[in-house]
Amino acid sequence: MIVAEQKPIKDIVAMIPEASSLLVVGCDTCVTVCMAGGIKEVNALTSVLRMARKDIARIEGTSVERQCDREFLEELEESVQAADAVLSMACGAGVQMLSDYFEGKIVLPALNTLFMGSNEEAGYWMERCLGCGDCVLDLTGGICPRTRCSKGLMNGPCGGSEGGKCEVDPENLECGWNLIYNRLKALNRLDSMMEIRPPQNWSTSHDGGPRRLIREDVKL
Amino acid sequence: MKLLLLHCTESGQKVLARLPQIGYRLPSTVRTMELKCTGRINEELLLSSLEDGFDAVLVVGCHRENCRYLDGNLRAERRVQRIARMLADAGVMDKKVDMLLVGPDEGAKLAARIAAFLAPGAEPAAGAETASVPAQSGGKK
Repeated sequence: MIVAEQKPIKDIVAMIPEASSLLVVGCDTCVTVCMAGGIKEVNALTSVLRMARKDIARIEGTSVERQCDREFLEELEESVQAADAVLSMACGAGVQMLSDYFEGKIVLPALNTLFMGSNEEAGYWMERCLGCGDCVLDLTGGICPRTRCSKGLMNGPCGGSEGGKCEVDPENLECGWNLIYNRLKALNRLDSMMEIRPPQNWSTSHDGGPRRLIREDVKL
Repeated sequence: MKLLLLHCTESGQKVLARLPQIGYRLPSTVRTMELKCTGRINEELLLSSLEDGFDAVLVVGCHRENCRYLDGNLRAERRVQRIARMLADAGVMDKKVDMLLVGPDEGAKLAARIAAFLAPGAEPAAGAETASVPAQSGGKK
């Protein structure tokens, strides 16, 4: 899922322009699971804003299934048109889609989008995927070296690995390549580590503008 | 100053029940609401209470390592601190949330905290009764 966190409340309060009505819109997908922008967070933020911005006559909150999906935005038509500004509690993709869909409306971000990751335990999320566009998980026992190794090395571990920990944060950070070694050993696939991998080809990552995916087979 | 006391059924309820024994009656501007454990408290409950007219919310729970449900009081404390920080950072100066960890025999401590919350001159009113309010309802679930 996409992991995000709420911006500092004073930044949110400051970014909202003078208006007579504000609509806060959450997203029921990723940011609900990471407890940053679901309906609960919308209700909490709306309450705080109503107390902090008494100059705004009407502040209401709602949420949609997915803000990054055009088909779910239609239901917002009436409430968005009735508002002077919209505060989105979705990830950056959702904010941009909302802004595109309701062109002419001020759409503001309430969250900082952080990474694609997983929920490790209550209150703890960790990055798992960079979205590099060239997955090598078949070679590394299902552990991504580009994400889990602090240096993104394709051949590891490096000299900064000690006791299974990474020198970048020896107390809290596992060495990604130590994890890969242990996993491959358990899978009896250590031979996969003997092959020298070429440097990462980053041209499939964020390169040449926004990445696009076009599939003729699913076009209508 | 309208104050809401959110308290648990254990230490929170017991300390409230013993207030008359130390000669203290809750002022008429103070309302109470009982929860099984303060760990039940969430952002919406605290904020909707403030929005619905209370100037302050004081959460009253058990001391550390004395929670019947292990750590409900500590989870409540973290949530209260988060909301208190949010309100302060947002510039909301006329609303306040706080938490007090007490034992059943610490009525004086609770009375002192209530007095500190209330505006100067609003000392505990003799004879005022403790009233209960229903649970607040949130928005879309």
